[in-house]
Formats: sequence, C-alpha cells, structure tokens
Amino acid sequence: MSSIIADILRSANSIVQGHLVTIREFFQKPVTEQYPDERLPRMEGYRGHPTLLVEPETGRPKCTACGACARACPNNAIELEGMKAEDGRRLPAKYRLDMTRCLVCNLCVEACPFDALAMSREYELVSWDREGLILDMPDLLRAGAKEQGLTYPLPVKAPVVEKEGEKA
Amino acid sequence: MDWWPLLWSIIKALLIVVFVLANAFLIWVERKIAGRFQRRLGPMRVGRPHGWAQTFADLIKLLSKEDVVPGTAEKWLFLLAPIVAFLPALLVYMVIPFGPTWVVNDLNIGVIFISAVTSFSVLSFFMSGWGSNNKYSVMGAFRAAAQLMSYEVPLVLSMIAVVMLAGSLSLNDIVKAQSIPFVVLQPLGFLTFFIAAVAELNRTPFDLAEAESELVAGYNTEYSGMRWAFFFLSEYANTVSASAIMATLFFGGWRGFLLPLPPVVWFLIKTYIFVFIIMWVRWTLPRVRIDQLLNLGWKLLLPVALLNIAWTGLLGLVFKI
Ligand code: SF4
Ligand code: SF4
Repeated sequence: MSSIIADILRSANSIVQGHLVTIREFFQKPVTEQYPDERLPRMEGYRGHPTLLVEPETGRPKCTACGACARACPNNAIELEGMKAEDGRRLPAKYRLDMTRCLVCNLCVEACPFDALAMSREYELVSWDREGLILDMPDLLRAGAKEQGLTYPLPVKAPVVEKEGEKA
Repeated sequence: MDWWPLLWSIIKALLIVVFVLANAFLIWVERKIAGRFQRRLGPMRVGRPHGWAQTFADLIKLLSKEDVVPGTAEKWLFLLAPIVAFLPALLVYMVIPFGPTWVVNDLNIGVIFISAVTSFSVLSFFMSGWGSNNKYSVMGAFRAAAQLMSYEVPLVLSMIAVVMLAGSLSLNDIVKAQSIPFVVLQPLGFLTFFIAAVAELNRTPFDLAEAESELVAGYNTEYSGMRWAFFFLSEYANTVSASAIMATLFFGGWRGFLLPLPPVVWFLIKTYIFVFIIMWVRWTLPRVRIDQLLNLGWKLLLPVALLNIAWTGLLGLVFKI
C-alpha cells in the first residue's frame, strides 16, 4: 500500500516537473528565424561557391586563364578558355563554373597561382533548373567583386572582354 | 399565440452556434501556444501580425478539399458520424450559465444532462470507426469505447460530490452555492474531474483513439475535407465546454472576486484559463498506453472519487453545508 502511494507521489512529482519545464520554455524567446525577413549571421569561415576576383585598378579579372584551377578541381566543375587582351595580358574569354558539380572544396582557390579566385560567402544558390546553377564569368566576377567590397562592373574605363575573345 | 419565447429561444440557440464557431480561432491559438512551448513561433505567414488568419486559411483549405467516401465504407454511418460528433458539442452549451441570467435553458437536471450528452461523442467515434471499414479506424473506435468505461465513472462520481455540496442539479444553482469555490472544499474531486475530463476530450495524453503515431489518425483516418473539419471543430468545442464546466462546477462559474467585472467576463476568463491548461498538458505529457489509462481510471481515479464523496459527506455533516 505504502509503495503504491509512493509510486503515485513520484509520478505526480514528475508530471509537475514536466509542466514546469514546458511553462518555462513558454516564456522564453522563440529561437525561430523568420528566414526571408531575418537572416542568421554567417559563421566565421563560411564557404560558398568560388568566385573570380577583380583587379580594382582596371576592373579586369585577376585570372590569367592558366587553367590550374580546372586541373585541380576534382569534379571538373570549371571550364575555361583564354585570350589575349590589347596590352598583351592573358585574360579568360570564357569561364564557367558548374555549381551542380562543385563540392565547395576550396582546392581551386588553393591551386590558383595568381590569387585570382576566392570562395564567396553566398549561400542562397537556388534556381528553377540546372542551367541556372551554371555560373558564367559575369556572375562569378560580380560575386567576386562583392567579396572584395566592390560593385561590378567597376566604374573604370578599361572594358573587360572584347568580341575577339569569343574564339580565342 | 405568443411568439416571443420561441423567437427568443431561436436567437439564443443561434448565439450559441456563433460562440462555438468563434471558438474555431482556437485552432490558431493552439498552434501558437504549441509553438511557444517548443520555443517556436507557430504560424506567422497568413495575416500579419502573428498569422491571425491561419484559421481561415485552414478552413478554406478544408472546404475546398474533396469529400472522399471509401468504396467499402458503411455509407450512412460514415456520413453521419461527423454530425453526431458535432451535435453534442453544441448541446452542452445549452445548460452552461454564462452569467446569472445568461443561460439558454437552466435545466433542473443540468449535471445529468451534461454527463449524458458529453458521453455521446463516443458514439460518433464508434460510428466513424466502424463505418470507415478500416482496421486503424476500428481500433481507434474500440479504444474509445474501452476508454469511456474507465473515465466516465470517476467523472460522474466527482460531479456527484459537487451536487452533494450544492444540493441541486442545476448548474446555475451550483454556481450560486459557491460562496467558497468548491475546489477549495474538494481539491481531490477537482483533480479527478480534470483528469477524467481530459480523457473524455480525447486529447493528449489520453488521445488513444486518435494516436497518430500508432493508428494513422484512429477513428478519423478515412475522413477528409469538411467532414474531418467537423471532428476537428467538435474537439475544440468540447475543449471549451469541458473548461466551462470545470469553471462552473469547481471555480464558481460567473462569480467574480476582487475585480468588479461583469459575470460573463469572469466566466470567460476562467474558461479560457482552463483551455490554456488543457493545451499546456497536451504539449507536455506523452500519450499513455491503453492499459495505463484503464489502470489509472479504475485503480486510482475511482477510489479517489469515492474518497472524495466520503469527504464531502463528512464536510456536510460537520459544517452543515
Ligand atoms: S571548390 Fe572544389 S569542386 Fe568547386 S570548383 Fe573549386 S575545386 Fe572544383
Ligand atoms: S588558376 Fe587562377 S589564374 Fe589560373 S585559370 Fe584558374 S582562376 Fe585563372
């Protein structure tokens, strides 16, 4: 008999404890983040997709189309073609990054001998179709300029690419 | 012939229907409260601020859904069950005193009426469970019936103790008799009533007949659209009426204290405090097993309810209440 009563009291106690826990939570601030309206601060060192950095003086890509990044990429996500600018400097004519394949490993950035690549801090990579996830040079330059705190295209005279580049 | 009484009854009946339908806002309230208990925000998107229009969105969604009747169902049972569920939920309000004169029909057998009408809902569970011709539904229905046995007896016994104190079966007289709220005189009776009432409502921790994690949705598995909404609405209507009965029987109904508010305001405050507590219980406790519920009902609630009756008799003898 006394063990039954002890049992009942013990369960009653645990029920009361449970309710105290939930009511305490009730008056706490909710942790929900209202995504499109609010965003969480990104973690230090967060990595998004690779981007092409811009030369702040000329507004051209820093990239020299050497191809080291494409070779380093384990997934063949980078495809590029080079060309020569009027001043003899090599520039990429075409630079495509296939984000459906990229695994955000950072190997391309490490491979680049000209420090022309950097990982962005962008995490909103959404698209209605696969094509939307294939980033072309203007997309990459815009994202890269954003990482450098610039806006692309830069307000400098020298244009980035000319038409001859298409076949280079 | 004098038409006024008839007209007045119709108006009162309509007011009750409006009150019950207005309680559909509890759909939103419960989701908000559930969210807060889990440190979420709950619905936020439909209607600013705080998603107040969620109920309307839910109802429009349910109204626009197809009304599916399974091919092998017992058609009449299946179609009637939601209405049978909703009707007692409405009928209970007939005898509940919202204020000293604000009662549709102050039956002199109010307490008996309530216990008769509320246990009606099990009938609808059984109709829907059997009529659906689905094993999960019928298991839910069996559970509802087994459950009824275990909670109905302590429920009624704890109501009897209240009647003993008040000396009347009319709810309004019971309220008038409570110069001290009855919960002070018989706390055990109130606890028994509360637990049995939550079991009667089929809400967690006693939602065995629904038991999403075991029985899909129990007795209402096969229901969709507006028929399902009727089950849903009657659950909320029952929650409010059970809270109102608790407030009336044990907390002095429309009687106020300290603040000079109108009686109906006092009544609603007490009622919705109980609605909140029932939701609080729901979002705290896990579901019990059927044998645990039967054990609780027969081995704990029933003796305690009997003890409470003895205690009430003693009170009556000693203090001549
Ligand atoms: S981050 Fe890795 S996978 Fe993505 S492009 Fe660079 S090397 Fe390729
Ligand atoms: S390794 Fe650097 S410089 Fe070479 S092609 Fe890639 S981005 Fe351009």
